[in-house]
Amino acid sequence: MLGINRRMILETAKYYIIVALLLIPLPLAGDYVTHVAILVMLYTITAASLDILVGYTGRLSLGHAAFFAVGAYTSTLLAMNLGVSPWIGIFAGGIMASIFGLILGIPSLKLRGPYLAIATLGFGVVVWLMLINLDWLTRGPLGIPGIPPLPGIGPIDFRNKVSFYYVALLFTVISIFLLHLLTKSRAGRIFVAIREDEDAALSIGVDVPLFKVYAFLVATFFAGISGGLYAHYLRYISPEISTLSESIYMLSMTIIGGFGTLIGPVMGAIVLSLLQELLRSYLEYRYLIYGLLIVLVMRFFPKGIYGIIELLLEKAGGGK
Amino acid sequence: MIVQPIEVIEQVILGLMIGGIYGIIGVGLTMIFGVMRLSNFAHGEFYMIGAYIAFTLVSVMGGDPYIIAPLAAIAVGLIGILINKLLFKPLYEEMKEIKGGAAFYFQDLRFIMLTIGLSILFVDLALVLWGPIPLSIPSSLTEVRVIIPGGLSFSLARIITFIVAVATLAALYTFLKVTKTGKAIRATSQNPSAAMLVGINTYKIYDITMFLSTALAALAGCILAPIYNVYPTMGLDVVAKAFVVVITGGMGNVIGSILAGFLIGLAENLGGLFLGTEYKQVVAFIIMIIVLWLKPEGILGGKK
Repeated sequence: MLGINRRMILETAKYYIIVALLLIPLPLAGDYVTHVAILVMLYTITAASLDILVGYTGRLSLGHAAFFAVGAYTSTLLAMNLGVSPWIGIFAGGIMASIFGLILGIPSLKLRGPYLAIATLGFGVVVWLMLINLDWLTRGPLGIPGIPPLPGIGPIDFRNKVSFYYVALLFTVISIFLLHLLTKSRAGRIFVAIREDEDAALSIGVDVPLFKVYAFLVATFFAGISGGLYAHYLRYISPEISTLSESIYMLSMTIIGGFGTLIGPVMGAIVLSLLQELLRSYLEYRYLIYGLLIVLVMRFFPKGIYGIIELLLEKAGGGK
Repeated sequence: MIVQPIEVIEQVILGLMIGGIYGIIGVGLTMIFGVMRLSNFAHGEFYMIGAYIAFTLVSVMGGDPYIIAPLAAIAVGLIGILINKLLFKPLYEEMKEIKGGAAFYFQDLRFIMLTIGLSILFVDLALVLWGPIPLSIPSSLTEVRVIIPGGLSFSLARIITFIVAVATLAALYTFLKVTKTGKAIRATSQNPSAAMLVGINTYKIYDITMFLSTALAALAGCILAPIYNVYPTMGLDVVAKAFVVVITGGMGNVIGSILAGFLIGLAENLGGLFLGTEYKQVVAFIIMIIVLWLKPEGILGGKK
């Protein structure tokens, strides 16, 4: 039914367990590295979730940061106003982001290409304006400081960067693993079919609208989860996290990494975040380099970092 | 809140004035889409660069920004041609060889990302060259106020901006309708391969379209600069609205974009009056969502 069996799940899981084990000693490198690693992982979830939409289903979105922000605000407001535990709030944030995903996904079913890009862009702007203007709820442009941290379990205190690192690692590895399984499943193959030729997919009996909405639901859910984690990690959020430039940042991770590969966007998130950190001392020129990078990659390597690595491996492998 | 009729009249006039500018920016964007099948997300940056070039020329040579404007527009138009030759043309040549169902999607995605990259690059370039502080271009015209019957007054700068906008749109329309080049542009927009068959050099048409489109955006930036300030992210504030105008008018539809420019300008100012200024920004997007939902081919229903 799903198109995946137990053997496949176990085989895929193997790699994820190895990666997770390899990443366990990272906090030994110090607080700064741990902090950067946590942010990279949160972006990794977002970029990979966006890939389901952009890379697999062929639905370009310029408003992904809006769903990240919806997750962050939902979890924060539930915790601060109703006293809901952030452990539950994070998932509630994911569900709320999915509801917003439906609000955008259903009316935009018929839209393609640039039309969809502008519709998602407009949706992102509307969410941003809502966060700014509904100040009785969101405190407007000032943002919300003093967000409660994840409640500790026994002696573990999640205000500590190192403990939070392991929470983020767990969430990231599980999220990417689930997204990976999704792309291997029947639904994942249908996503690709919709991207390659929507009309052909329709003609062989695929319920195209259903799967388009499904892709939106999944992508926005994981963006919301990562937003919730972000809120309880930094413990301060403002409407800035939902701006167009944030959405573009997420999209450029997905595309520079190599869309439609899932592992590409993960690499994109790592490379772009590290680039941001490395260029921190050249603050003025940071976006100049970042913009130039996007232009060059799109001009010469449209398949992104993943494509470059693939090309290098092919060359190393000899004339296959 | 009670709205006085005089306030409504004032907002209608202001709305039509800003609508003319939206029209100029939107027309350029819609031409690029119609002729080159390209969604130019860097369009707002040509508007921004136009304003900065006008600022630099005014501070070096002196004179009034309204007289300098055509010069700045031509300079930006040449930048537009350069970008077309360096970045877009090679991509079109590459695209010719790619076949398959998803090719259109990849082409869209690649161009959208490429222009987004250009936009980020230009914004930071302006930041490095001219600094983050908003600059103002002085013009003697902003101080002169014209009083019209009924107790309303507008600065001469606004009125001249409106006249320039309408004259430019009329000139562009005549150019597209009457001249041979204009006809070739329209032919390429309707059917690129048929245009090529009858001997139109489409790459040359792309160059001309890029020139016109970027020069129009720059012109809008120049003539608005004395009224608003000049700052690096000013293009980003405009590009989303330009896309709203283009979609409302029907992508690739010049007349539609002109009408949609005035419509959005009007709706925004009246919306700001009745709903409060904080919702002014949302009005344009709500109109766009309604249009996309009910009439995705634009308000004129696909007629060109």
